Amino acid sequence: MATVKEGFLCPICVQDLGSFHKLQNHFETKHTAEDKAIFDQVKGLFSKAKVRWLKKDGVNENDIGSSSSSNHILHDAPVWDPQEIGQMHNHMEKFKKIRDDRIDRFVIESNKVLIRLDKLAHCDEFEATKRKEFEQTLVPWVRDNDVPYCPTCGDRFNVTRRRHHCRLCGSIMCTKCSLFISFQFADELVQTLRKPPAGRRRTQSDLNISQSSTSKPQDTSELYIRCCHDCYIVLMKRKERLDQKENQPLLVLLYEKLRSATDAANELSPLYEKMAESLNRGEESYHLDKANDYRFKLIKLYETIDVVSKKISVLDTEDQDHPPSATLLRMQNAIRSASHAYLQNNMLTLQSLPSLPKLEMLQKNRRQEEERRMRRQREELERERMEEERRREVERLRSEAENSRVSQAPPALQKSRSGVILKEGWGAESNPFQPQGNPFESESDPLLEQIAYVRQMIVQAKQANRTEEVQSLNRNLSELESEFQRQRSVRAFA
Amino acid sequence: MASRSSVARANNTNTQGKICQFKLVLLGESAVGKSSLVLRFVKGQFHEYQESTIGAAFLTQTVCLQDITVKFEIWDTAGQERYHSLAPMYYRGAQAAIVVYDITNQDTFTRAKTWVKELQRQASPNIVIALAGNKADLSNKRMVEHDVIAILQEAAAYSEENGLLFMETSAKTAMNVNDIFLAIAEKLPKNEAGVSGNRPTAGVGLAATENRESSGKSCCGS
Repeated sequence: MATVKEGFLCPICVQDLGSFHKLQNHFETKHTAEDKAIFDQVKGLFSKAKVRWLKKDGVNENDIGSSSSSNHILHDAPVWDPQEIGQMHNHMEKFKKIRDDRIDRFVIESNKVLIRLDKLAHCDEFEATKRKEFEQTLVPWVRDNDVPYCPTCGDRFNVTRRRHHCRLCGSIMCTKCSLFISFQFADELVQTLRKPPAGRRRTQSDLNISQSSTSKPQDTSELYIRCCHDCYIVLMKRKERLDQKENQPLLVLLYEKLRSATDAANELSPLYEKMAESLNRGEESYHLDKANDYRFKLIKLYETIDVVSKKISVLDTEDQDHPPSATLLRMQNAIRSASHAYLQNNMLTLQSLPSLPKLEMLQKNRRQEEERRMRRQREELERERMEEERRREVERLRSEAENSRVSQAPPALQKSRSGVILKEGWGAESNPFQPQGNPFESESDPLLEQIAYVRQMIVQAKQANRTEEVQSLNRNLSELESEFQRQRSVRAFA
Repeated sequence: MASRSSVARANNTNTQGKICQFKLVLLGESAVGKSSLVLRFVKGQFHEYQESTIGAAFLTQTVCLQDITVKFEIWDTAGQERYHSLAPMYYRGAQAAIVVYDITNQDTFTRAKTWVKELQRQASPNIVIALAGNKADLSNKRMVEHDVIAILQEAAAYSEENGLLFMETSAKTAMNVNDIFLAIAEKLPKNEAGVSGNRPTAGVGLAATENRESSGKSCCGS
């Protein structure tokens, strides 16, 4: 924990000087060589503070000495800007490395111990000397002479206080410090190592259970596995972890149930939404029965979520002896409110399905709509074809007219005030669509009409050998066509 | 290619070599006589019962000033409401416009004013606009005399204000028809860049429009 220092602290050497004047003196004499900028800043601060004090308290040095009043400078000082975050360094990698190393070591240690324990627990040798030999093959025992005192309690070994070896690591201790592991317990611990894990117990383990529960074994040291304190801790830790895995708290179980229900609902609801939407549109790609089935399932899931989350929120609150901690309670309530929000978002907005007669009506409407659309499309195609035909007809008429055309009045040279009209200009024959009384009627696009007309004019201009006019008309034609394309795309996107 | 042919033609008719080509568009309410005006100018004809135009008709006519030959590419647009969407395609990039109204019909003058406004807003900024009060021959009949005069006065004032060329014309009697086109030809800016042949001979669509506009700008850019 960082301690908070208060008082007349020198900003450079953090020494408490006791009074304002002493501090100023100290600063000016000791730190004059320091950074000029800092000096100016601090000096400015001090002089401001001094003015305040002189106003407030008068020039009473003793009075100022108290640390409480010294707080004023620090808080009121406008000189200090909020500090920026300085150099940052991420130590995560380093931490992970250290942690991984430790975990590795621990896992290796405990695995070694467990493997030995497994072998010991399933050794069929009960004859004392042979068993001892077997035990020593598993782990080399520390030589008796090397250990004059018990490493755990520090007492000297002698004739009465005998040396004993830990069967799991081979170290030495006295009887008093020895701990014993029953075969049953050993079996429990190592069972998870074996596959299949919870298989048939060995006969000798059964034997051990009966022995440990009913008749006291004649030689405890042989039926229990002697081990040292350190190895015992390793084993207990493993036991703890196994227990955790098997006996999860009710809260965790309930929460898992809640999660699985939520996940299932999340998976199901988009499917259902799609179905409901499609059915409400009157489409026939889904069956109403199936959708109803889905709806039922969804509602069941939402109910489960509701019930379970409610259970979680009141979990253990009735328990007078062990009331849940405030943090736990807060978490439980948070789970409940999150579930509540989820239900509000999903269950209440769940689309309803049309009833059977309504669905039939919707489907009928849709079919009709579809038919109408098809008909419209067919009509459009038909119309386009007609237009094409009409244009061909018009072109035919046009060429006929061209052949039978009588030459117009002779070109007239006209004088004018300031200029001369050279000769008769060129103009396309009036729109050939005209005499037929505008066959396009009002529904056709003026732009299309114009395109057809300009094409017509190009033909005429070509016949009259008017190259420039042909060029101008071609330019216009392409403008018209691009305009038509643009309008069509605009309409298509509208 | 195009420039050479037009130059050749110009030489044949004993004029100097400069040929300017301009796009001109006719706008106005339907049945005010746009087509008749153009027909008179281009072919010297007049039909008492001119059919109403569909879309936009295209005509060309060449005019000779002192030393320059001006070729008009005339787009005679339809006055009917349903073809109004086509109009912007034709006045876009046009160097000149004739807005026509019927001197015996106040409404057509009102419509002409809105056309002028639209041109001022949407067409190229250097466009030469002429206001033509057509059917001037009818002014003799004086059906609603003071109305005709009132419109004339208003039109003259309006043209003055907006810097438009203004003439009363008659396609029937050919009164002022050539004059209004010649006046436009004279007012159009002509310089080396505007000489015929700078018009793009190839290229289509937008690019062509842009080129045309740029040529119009360089015309009066000096």
